[in-house]
Amino acid sequence: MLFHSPEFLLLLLLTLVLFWAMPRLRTPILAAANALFYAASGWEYLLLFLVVAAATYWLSQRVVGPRGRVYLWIGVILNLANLGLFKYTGFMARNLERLLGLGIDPAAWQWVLPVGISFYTFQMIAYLVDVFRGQIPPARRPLDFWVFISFFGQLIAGPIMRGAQFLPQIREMGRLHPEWQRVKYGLFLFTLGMGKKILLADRIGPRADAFFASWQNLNGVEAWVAGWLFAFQIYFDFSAYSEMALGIGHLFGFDLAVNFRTPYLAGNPAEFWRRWHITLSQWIRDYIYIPLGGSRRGEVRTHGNMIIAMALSGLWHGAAWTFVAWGLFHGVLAAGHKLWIRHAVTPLSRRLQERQWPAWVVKNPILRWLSVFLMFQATTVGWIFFRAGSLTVAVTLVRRMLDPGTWLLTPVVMRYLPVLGILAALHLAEFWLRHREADWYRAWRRWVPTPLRAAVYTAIATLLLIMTETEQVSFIYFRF
Amino acid sequence: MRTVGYMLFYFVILQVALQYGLPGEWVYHYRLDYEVAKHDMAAYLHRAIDAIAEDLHQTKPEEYVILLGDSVAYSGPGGPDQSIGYYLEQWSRQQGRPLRVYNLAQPAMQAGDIYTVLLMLEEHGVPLDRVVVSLIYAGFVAREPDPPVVFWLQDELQRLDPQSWKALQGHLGAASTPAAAQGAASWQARFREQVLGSLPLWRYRHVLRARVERLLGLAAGGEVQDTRPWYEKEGIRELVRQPLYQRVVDPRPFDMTPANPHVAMLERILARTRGAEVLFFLSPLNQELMAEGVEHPGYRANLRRIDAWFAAKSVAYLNLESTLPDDRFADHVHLTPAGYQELAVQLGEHLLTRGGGARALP
Repeated sequence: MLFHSPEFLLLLLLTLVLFWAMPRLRTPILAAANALFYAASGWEYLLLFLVVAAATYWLSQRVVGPRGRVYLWIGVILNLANLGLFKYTGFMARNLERLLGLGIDPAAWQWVLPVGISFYTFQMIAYLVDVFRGQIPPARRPLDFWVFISFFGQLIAGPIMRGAQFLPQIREMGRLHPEWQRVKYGLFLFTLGMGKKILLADRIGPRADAFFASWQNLNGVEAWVAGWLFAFQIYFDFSAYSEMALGIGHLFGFDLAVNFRTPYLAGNPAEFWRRWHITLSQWIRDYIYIPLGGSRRGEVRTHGNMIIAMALSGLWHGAAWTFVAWGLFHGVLAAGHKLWIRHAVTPLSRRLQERQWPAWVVKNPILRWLSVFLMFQATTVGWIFFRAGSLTVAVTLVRRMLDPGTWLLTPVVMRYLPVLGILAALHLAEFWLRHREADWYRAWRRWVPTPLRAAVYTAIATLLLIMTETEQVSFIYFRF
Repeated sequence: MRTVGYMLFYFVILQVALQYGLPGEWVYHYRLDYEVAKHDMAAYLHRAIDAIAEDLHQTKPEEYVILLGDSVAYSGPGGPDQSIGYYLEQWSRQQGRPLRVYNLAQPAMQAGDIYTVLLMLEEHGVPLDRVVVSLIYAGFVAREPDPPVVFWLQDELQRLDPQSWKALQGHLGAASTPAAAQGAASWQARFREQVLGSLPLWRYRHVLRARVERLLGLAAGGEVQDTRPWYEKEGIRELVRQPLYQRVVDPRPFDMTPANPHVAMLERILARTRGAEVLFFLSPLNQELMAEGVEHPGYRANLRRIDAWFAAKSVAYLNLESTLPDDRFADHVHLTPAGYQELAVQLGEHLLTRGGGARALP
C-alpha cells in the first residue's frame, strides 16, 4: 500500500480519527492499523513479521538477565537468518552455481522479498543491542513493541527508529493532545513528500530508465546525464518517502528521525553520510563500524573498518555485486578523503596559517562549492554502480564517463542539460527554503490572506491528485 | 480551521465546474485520446459513449456512423485532426452529405473488445445499426494464446455478457491479461470506481492530467507520434522481420470456424447487429515493406478465406488490403495522414453511394 494511493489515505484518515477520538485505545488502534497496512502486501508476510517480532520481544525480556549475551546472539541470528533467507538465498545460489557449477537452479532459490524486511530487521537488531547494552529498558508491553517495530508511517522504508527515540513516545502517547500547529506541519511534510514523489521522482524515473536501458549506445556525457538523472530520481524518491513518514509521525504527535538534509550539498564523504539516509548511516556506525573497532585501532584498521562497514551497507541495499561495489566505492571514497585531509590538506593549511595567509584563502567559499561539485560527481559515479544491471554495465559506463575522448554534446544531452539545471536549482531551493521554513511560514501567513492560501492549497492537492500515476510507481527503497 | 473551510468550498466548486463545465472535446475529439483512455479503458469508453449519446441527442445529425477497431481505425500515429473520423467528416461535408463519425477505436482492441463496445453502446441507449468495423489480417492468426481476443474490456464483457465471457475462459485464462484490464474485482478497484468515481475530479483526472502535461510540455509520448512515411524511418525493415510484426502476414492456414476466438467474436458481432447496416473492412497493408509475406501463397489463400467467410455472411465488407499506395504508410499497417485521408474517402464513397453503415436517424 503506497503512501500516495487513495487506499492509504483512507487508512490514514480513519486511523487518525480513531487515534485522537479514543486516547485510551491508541496503542491497540495503531497496532491494528499497522497490521492492516502490512497485510496489504500479503497475509503470509504479516504472519512472518508477527512471528519474528514476537520472538524478538520475548528475547529482549531475557537479554537483560543472566546469559543475556546468548539471548542477544539468538535474537541477532534469528533476525539476520530471516533477512538472509528471503533476501540473499537466491544471490548465494547464483554465486555458488557460478563458482562450483553444482547444477543449482538459482531462480528456484529466489524468494519474494517481504516489504520492509531490511528496515524492520535493522530496527529489531538495534533494539536488542540497545537493551543488552542497558541503553534502554525492554518494552514492557508486547503491543508497545509491536507499534514501535511496525509503525506504518515508517515501516517500509525507514527512517530506522531507535528504541531510545521512539519507545518513550509510544509509552506516553495516551497523554498526547492534538496540536493544530503540529498537524499543519505534518500535512506540509506529507504534501512536500508527495510532490517530490509524484511531480519529480516519477517523472525523472522513466527518463533515467531509458538511458540505462540503452547503456551500450551512450557516450561519456550521456552516461553522466544518466547518472545525474538517477541521482536526482533516487533522492527525490527516497527523501519523499522519508518526509511523508515524518509528516505522518507529526499527525500522530510523534517525532520521527530526520533522514535527509539536502545531501548533494555535501562537500565530502563524511558530510554526505550525515545528510543522506542518516538513520542508516548512524546504524552502520553504531552496530558495525564501532563494534569492528572504529577508529581506535590505528589508521589502517580504521580505513579497513570503514570499507567493510560500507560494503555491508551496500549488501544490505540489495543482493547483487553492484550494491557491494557501490558500498565499497563509498568506503574507499571515505577512507581516501580521510587520508587526503590528514596527509595533504591539514599540513598545507597549517603551513599557510604559519605563514599568516589570510583566513579566506584557507576557508574559501569557492573551494567549498568546488568540493560540493566534486562530491556530487563522485556520488553520481557511485549511483552508476547502484543503478546498473550488472558490474559489466557499471564499469563500461564509468569508463566512458571518465574518458574525455567519449564526451560528445549530442542533441539528447543538450535537451537534458537544462532539465538537470532545474533539478539542481530545486535542490538548492529546498535547502534555502527548509533552512528558513519558520520565517517563510510566518511571512506566508502574514502577507497572504486566508482565501488565497486556501486556493493555493486546493490547487496543490488537485495537481497532486491528477498527476498521480494510476499504476502507481513504488518507492525505490521499497525493494530493499 | 477557516483555511480548511475555504478549501472545502473551493473543492465543491471545482467538482461542480468539472461536472458541468468540462469541455466535451477534452474527453472526445474525433476519437478518444489513447493516452488518457489507456489508464482506465472501460471508464473512459463509458464517458465517451455518454458524450456521444448527448451529442446525438443535441445535434441530431442527419447521418452518422460509429467506427470501431484497433490502432488503424484509431488512426495512429497521427493526431485526432489527422484521423479517419476527421477526414470522413470533412470529405462528406464537401460531398454535400455531412456524416457525423463517432470513433471509439483504440489501439490493441481485438474483436472481443469491439463486441463489448457494442454491448456498452446498447447499454447507453445508442442505436447499434450504424457501425463500421475495422479488421486486420493478424486478427485471424491463431492465438498462442496471446493476444487475448478481449484485450481491454474483459471485466465489461463479464458484466454485460457473462455467457460469452464464460465461453472464452479457456482462451482468456491462458492468455496474458494486461495490467490495465485486471483487478476490477478487488476492493481497491471497487473503492476507486464506486466511491472516488463519484467525484468528477477523480473521474476526469486523466483528462486533466493530459491537458496539464501538454500545457507544460511534459508529455512523454503525446497524441501525435512520428507520422513520416515508413521509408524515411531508419531500421524499419529490420524491425518488421521480428515475429511480432510477421503476424500480419502469417501464411499458416486460418481456422475460419468458431474454434478461432476471433471468428467466434465476429459471429457474435454479426448476431448482435443483425438487421443493421454494418460495414466491415480489412485494413490496408504495406505491400512493399511486407513484400515477402504478401507474395506467399499461404497469405493469399488466407485473404481469400476471409473474403469467402464474409461473402457467406451476406454482410457489407470491403477488402482494402492492397488498395493504398505504399507511400501512404507510416509503417507496415499504420498510415500517414495522407493515407488516412485516402482511406476515409474509400470508406466514405462506399458509405454514401452503396450504403452500409450510414443511415439517417429515424
